[in-house]
Amino acid sequence: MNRMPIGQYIPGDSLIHHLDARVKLIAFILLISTIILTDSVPGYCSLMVLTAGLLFVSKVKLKTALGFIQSLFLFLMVIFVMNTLFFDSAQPICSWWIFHISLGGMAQGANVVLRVIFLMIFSSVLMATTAPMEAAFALKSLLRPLQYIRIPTEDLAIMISVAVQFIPVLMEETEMIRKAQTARGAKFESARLREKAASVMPLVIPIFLGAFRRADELSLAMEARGYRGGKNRTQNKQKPLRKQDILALLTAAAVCFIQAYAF
Amino acid sequence: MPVELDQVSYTYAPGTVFEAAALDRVTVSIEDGEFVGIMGHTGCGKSTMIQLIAGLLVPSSGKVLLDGCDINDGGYRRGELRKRVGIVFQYPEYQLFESTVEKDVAFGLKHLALNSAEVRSRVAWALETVGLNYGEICRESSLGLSGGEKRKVAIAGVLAMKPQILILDEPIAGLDPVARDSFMQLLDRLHNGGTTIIIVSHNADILGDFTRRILVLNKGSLVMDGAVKDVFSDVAQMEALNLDVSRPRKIAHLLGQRGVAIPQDIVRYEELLTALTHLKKSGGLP
Repeated sequence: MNRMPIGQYIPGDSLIHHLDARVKLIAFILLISTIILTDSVPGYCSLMVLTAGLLFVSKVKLKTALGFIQSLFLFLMVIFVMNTLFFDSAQPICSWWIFHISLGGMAQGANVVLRVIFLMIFSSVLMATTAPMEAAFALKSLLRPLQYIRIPTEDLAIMISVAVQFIPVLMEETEMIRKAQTARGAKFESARLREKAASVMPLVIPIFLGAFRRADELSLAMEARGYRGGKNRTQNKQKPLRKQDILALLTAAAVCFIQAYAF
Repeated sequence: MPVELDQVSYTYAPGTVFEAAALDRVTVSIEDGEFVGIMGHTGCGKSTMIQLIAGLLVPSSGKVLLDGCDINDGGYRRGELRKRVGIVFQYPEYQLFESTVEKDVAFGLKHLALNSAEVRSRVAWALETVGLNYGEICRESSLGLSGGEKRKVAIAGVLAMKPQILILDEPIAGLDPVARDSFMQLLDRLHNGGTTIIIVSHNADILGDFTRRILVLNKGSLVMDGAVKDVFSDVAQMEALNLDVSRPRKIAHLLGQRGVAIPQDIVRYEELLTALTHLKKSGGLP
């Protein structure tokens, strides 16, 4: 694991790191709404300023926040081209068969691509500054109202936090199995697609088996320690919202409001 | 085919906040046909070191040489390396995946351009070597076996490649005493057949009984390297490194502290017994 995976939590000491995860989640949702409500050049400019400010305050490096670009480049290009080609416009620049290239289409394409980029930047910042377990607890407490419509939120929360907790374990195991099979002659290093595809089985089967084995062991261990379903479980840490949390929340709401009405 | 590490360093996740030095300028040379043990406290760089030797990690600086050739040089053929160096990780049973034992053991052989008769004879040889009956077991699903059998099958999969250098990471962890002894005897047979064996273990008794040389790592540096009796001679230093010496050595050490004139280069039980018998005869024991 020499390259940092996208969405990795990076421990730090910034203002954003110390915010309550629930606040960060709500602010994130508000910022997404802001992105969706934006569709003008000045709107995007102000979003850019906002992003710069966020990166500055959170001390997340631009390189980390934009780490996804490389893997999503093709996807973004396809979105742009599709929008450009298929947008119905009154004044196409040129038309051929079902394809119409128009300024409106290009604008639409750029709009969608920019939205995805901003969305990814904000989620990168969220994930880089929030420890996975905190995020899981935040999700749990935000989902709590759903209990009233008979959704087992406690069980869902346990499922999410277990899944989150096991990501590093499974990644480590995957790495180990990859190495073991490489040493036995599997060709993951090969550039040839056919060999690469054939080498997936020796990796996937042991990983699945390992995951099931761990799930089995974990469920036994949880029951042995008295877990009887999620109902009425108490929480270890009860954190009330602090002043800076409420301030951050108000800021996000204000940004959303201003952005929606001004641009 | 000697293995040489020349000023090898390895840094984990360089350039990120998770950066950590796992190995720091280690220089060591292991000759053909040696039986070497590696000891060290958890996180000392043992696993990193053996993975570097097997070419599974690329050193941040320094060179790993096999027969004088840099294995991380662009011109070095990976297939050749995989054929020469076999590595058995901790809990190798978790790497099984094929529908039958035979296919699993033959997995690595697919890349060696052997005909099917050769493949079969190698699989049979490997399974018999680890103490399984080829005729009985080859059609069974490797996933339905017991834990001990699975481990044997996985190790057979590495042995089938007939590596000249066999590296094992804690291969005896979790084995019962009988299985452990028979496994170590298997390694001893391979060693007598000319295979270089490098074994990582915390079990000082086993290392004392079977290996000839021990490397001790601490915090990524090679702190001791020598014959087993020399490494075990300094009990205090080994304890300072959170490591055991073999129990016979420990007994001799404690007896020595109480004024018994017993030699301090004892490693194995037979040596301890001989020394004690000798002492009794000469009246050195109360």
